[in-house]
Amino acid sequence: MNLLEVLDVDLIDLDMDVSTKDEAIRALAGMLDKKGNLNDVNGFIDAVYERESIGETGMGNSIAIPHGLTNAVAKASVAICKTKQPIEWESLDDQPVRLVFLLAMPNDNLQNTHLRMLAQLAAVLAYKEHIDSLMDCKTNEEFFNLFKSYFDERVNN
Amino acid sequence: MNIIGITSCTCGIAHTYMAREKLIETGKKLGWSVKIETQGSGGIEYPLTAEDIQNADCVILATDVAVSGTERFKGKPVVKVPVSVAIKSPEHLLKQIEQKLNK
Repeated sequence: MNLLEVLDVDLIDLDMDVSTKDEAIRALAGMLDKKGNLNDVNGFIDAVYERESIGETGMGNSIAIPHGLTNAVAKASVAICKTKQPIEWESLDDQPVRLVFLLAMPNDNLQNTHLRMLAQLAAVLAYKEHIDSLMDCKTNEEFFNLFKSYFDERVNN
Repeated sequence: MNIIGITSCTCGIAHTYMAREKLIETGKKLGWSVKIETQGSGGIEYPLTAEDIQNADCVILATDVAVSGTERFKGKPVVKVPVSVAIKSPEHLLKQIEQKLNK
């Protein structure tokens, strides 16, 4: 399974009105829950915070990749948002975050799947040009297709 | 310039991979060959070959934790940095290495 297989054009919000990290995580988890991808939204949020407590998920360049690996997840998925304003997030560059990718992975002994998806996401988001262009996208479809083209270029090669 | 290295981070793997991407991409920009092994929670990936090591001018260890297999680099100049340095300022890092090697 790769990241593109779980990317869902309905799980993108390019104009999210949140002002804190907690609001962003809860809103993204809510999107996953509404889609039926979670068994237990609160259990999932707990797992995300457990991971946050180990170390920063802000990768620098306005990007954060929080994630939860737990049985509270029914279906591997990723919810994406661009926030209306920068939000505080523990980051490598100590700068706030605009673009958040929340990964939800079932804890079914496929931990390597989870790692591979994080790795694939990191490979696409390592480039500032990619991030800048993704931030400029106006529609979910545009974002989805651009992400897919970067993925093909960076990961499938 | 031939650079090899290992990236590794304390938790998860995202930093490990991002550091690898950044070093390789920056190397391309400078016209260098950069090969990076990752040692993450998923074990060793993109392992360095004996030939990679033999041809290397310098070894970068961009790691926050102890990595295995460093005895392979005996006799080579080794630069150790936190993984965040490779992610935040890869170009500065590579240029510093170049300066040091040219001294």
